Amino acid sequence: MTLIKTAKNQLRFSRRTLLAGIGASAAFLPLIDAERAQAAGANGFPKRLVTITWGHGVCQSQFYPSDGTTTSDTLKPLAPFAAKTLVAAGLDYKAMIETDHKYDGHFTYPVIWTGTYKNTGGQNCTSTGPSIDQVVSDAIAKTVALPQPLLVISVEGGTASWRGAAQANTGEGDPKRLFDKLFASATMPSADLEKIRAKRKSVLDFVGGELTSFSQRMGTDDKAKIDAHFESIRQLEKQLTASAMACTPPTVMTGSKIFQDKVAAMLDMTSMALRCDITRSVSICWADDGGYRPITLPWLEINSSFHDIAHLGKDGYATKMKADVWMFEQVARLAAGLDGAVEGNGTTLDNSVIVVGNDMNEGSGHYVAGMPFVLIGSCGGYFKTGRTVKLGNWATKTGTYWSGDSNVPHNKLLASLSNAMDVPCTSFGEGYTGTLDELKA
Amino acid sequence: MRDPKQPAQGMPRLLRLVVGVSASLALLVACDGSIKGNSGGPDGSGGGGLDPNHPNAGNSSGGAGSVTDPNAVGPRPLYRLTRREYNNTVRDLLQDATQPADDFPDDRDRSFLFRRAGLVATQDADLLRTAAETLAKTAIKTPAALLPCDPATGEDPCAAKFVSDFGKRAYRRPLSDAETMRLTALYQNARTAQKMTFNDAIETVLEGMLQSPAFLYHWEAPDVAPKLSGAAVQLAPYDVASRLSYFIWGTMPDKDLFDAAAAGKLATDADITAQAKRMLADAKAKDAATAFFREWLELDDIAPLPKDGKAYPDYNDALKGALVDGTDAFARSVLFDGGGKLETLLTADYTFSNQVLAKVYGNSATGTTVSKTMLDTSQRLGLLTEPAFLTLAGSPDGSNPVKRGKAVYTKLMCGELPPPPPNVPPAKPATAGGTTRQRFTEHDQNACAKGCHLLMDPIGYAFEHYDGIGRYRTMDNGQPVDSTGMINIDGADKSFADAVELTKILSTSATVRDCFAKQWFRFAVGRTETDGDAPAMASVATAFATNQFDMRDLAPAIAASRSFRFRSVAVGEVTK
Repeated sequence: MTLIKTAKNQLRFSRRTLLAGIGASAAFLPLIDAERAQAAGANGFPKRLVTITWGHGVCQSQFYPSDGTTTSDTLKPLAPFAAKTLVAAGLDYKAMIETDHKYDGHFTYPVIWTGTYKNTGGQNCTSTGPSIDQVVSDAIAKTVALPQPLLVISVEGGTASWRGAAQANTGEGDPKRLFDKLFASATMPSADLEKIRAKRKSVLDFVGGELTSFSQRMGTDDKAKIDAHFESIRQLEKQLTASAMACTPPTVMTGSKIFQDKVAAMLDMTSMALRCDITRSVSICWADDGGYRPITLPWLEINSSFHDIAHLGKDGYATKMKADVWMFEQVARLAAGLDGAVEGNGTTLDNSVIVVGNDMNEGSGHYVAGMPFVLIGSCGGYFKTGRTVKLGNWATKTGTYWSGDSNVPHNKLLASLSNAMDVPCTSFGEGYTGTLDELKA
Repeated sequence: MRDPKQPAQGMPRLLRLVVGVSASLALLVACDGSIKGNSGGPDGSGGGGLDPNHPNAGNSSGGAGSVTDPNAVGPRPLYRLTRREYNNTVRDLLQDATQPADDFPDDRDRSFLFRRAGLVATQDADLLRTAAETLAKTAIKTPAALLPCDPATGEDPCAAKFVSDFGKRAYRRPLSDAETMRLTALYQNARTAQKMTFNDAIETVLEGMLQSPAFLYHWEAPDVAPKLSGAAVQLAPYDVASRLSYFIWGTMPDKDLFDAAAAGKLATDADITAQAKRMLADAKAKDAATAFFREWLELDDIAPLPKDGKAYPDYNDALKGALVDGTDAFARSVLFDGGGKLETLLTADYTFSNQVLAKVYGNSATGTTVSKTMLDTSQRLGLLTEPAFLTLAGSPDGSNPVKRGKAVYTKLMCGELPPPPPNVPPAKPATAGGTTRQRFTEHDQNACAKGCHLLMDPIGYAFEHYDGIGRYRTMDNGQPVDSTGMINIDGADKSFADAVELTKILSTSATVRDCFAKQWFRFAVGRTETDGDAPAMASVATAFATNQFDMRDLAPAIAASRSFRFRSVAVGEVTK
């Protein structure tokens, strides 16, 4: 099945524009290696996509801006970026709703960024296609070899990034390892680096040969597992051929085992990796979607699990708001990191889009209509930010407490994100076509 | 809350009702009072693909026989070494005890109780490479221990001998010619193109071996046609050796097993049973059995399990560690020193306690190491009154009849539950007054209550004498505890006064015995049983009954069973 229809990326990096950009603001740019940035946005700078995912919904009565702006109790931490924020209000996980899984909100991580859903028994499910971060990174990889074409981070819980049908991309959960992955090669003498690369290449070539031979007689399902392994080896080989970026590593605390320290370190490293063009596509999860590994937030004096608080519904809102606001403070931390780097007439944030998604609409109901999506950054001017756009049946919503089906599949948002990232498509995922032109500038 | 726009339907015929609470594990059953299937297991139909929930369940071509066919056999999906297996394997292969797989992602699978390593995504491949590089770097520091020869007598011949001898242990079978050629080419490339020293080249070859699928997966020689026996595949001797070893020891075969495989002495029931009994006497068998109990009871979930600090200020890392240690030691003790009976596991009058657990038990145990301690048998008996079990299936701030009922129902009775329904409010908090049971009982008066709760909650109410971390109590929220209830088991309703009586009922139940054997089988083969496993399940049940349900008889019986030594042919497999 064709899950995404792409046209060949016609955009060409404008070397002159990029150099001009660097010249104008070199002091702020650890940034872009002109030789490498072969595919960039129309303004000469690359576009970046970051998806951020956590679970347990929002307190709806305090989430949606009532006046068309982007200001609400929950979104307060994003106030410094109010003009760069876009609330896409009223998006449904229709593939779940229409197969009678509308209350399976704890089991949506395969759905959120793929726009696909396949039930695998009970409430368990998987994806039938790749997520937007994977699709975008694959498209970029056709024109530029980035050290980390796709960066997947999972602080706690699972991942919301999918390579393809039923193939999850495991996330990096260790700040120290992430630091080495992103920045260690930048400080290594090039002779040593070349030696390591040559050795790794020979070993990966060997492993590829072993895998090919290993699966030659296997049944279809087992062969698919080895094929997935082989693709991962191929990805590691591709990373070997990307040149190391000159980049000043951020100062981060990589040794802490404390949850919020890990989140902060991961976000600061992500921010620098995006600024340095080490990656352009990032998927971040920091809490799981089912209380599977429940987190507590003791620094907020929340000692029972986030999941259990969410289950209390309105009775737990006072506590849950503290948690939700903290979550958006972390989003703001990343936004601030990107907004602090000048690119041309704007900032890295302006050439990026951070998209926040959740596993359900509200914690006590587990319902998957009216999902709280928030975008920060216009993605090089593609989106018209600074507003809340009410979609479908939600167009006539007033006041603050919004819920119920909008009847707009979130696949449309994913298709729009793909187009925003210069990967043209008319549909994303499975079963639902179209884009959200309402969000465009 | 219910979405106002959603009609109250959405809960179809199988009217869904929460038995659930302010916690994740709500239960429900059909409103007509029936609960889905008591036997468990996928139906063996439908495509598996990469879906971990159906690990090749549909991969067998026709299941190689019908349910009653003695030649029926289950599938053998491809699995990778789990973290535990990887750590143990490199310990035995390289004498490296650094447990590098602790850095790998958790190999939990939501749809299966026992560990199962997932697909190798890019991040996993990266971590496997890092582990291989680290292990190889350490190993080459003592070349004499690693190499089967002195390179001074000829480097290239020594490299060839290393590939052949060490390769056989790393791949757990003799290498094929093609594998030998690839490894030799890797060595030659390192020496010539990369101009490495001999030791560096050996290190590179070792890195390659440790990333090879032959090392990382439980599978058969790729260059040889499988041996067909009727419609089934008979595993080759080296595959039987590995399967036995990973099941009973959680690690690679030892020299005896390799020798037995080389001599073709793993072909008969008697051969395999004799090996299994030898292996069970080894300390490694205790570790693997402990792993069964840890995974069956989900003891590793205690570490990340939060509790309300106000309700349980003593619930800290020391207590979490002691909870796991105590139940680990208890299960080990019953299995290896206490006669091994399932009935003893459930009704032992002793446990293992230390100074931290003493606060929970109210006993006088001292020291940080857990040691055997007698129970007050009016309050506690056996596994189900272990604080670890009660803590895991407790609420953050109290007991939890639903979770505890569910744990008994699914883990000991192998009952299956449909997914929890939406939009039913949790039971009231303790601050609303009343005992836990009163609050849950009120909560259960929601629509559909009778059918749903009649079967489930009474099991959980048996444990009302224990709070959220397993301390015994006679009063709950100011009122006396009521722990009476009834269980429908083995086709009859049986009433009990408390958990002590419940556990006695369970300890001699045919359903529980059957389920326990199933759980061990699932642990052994890494999947849920299928129709094709009927002959294997029957032989295991017979063996289990022989010595009054001695748990130590399960491993040899499973190892000798048809589904352990044979497998169905997978769809798309090349058998010629």
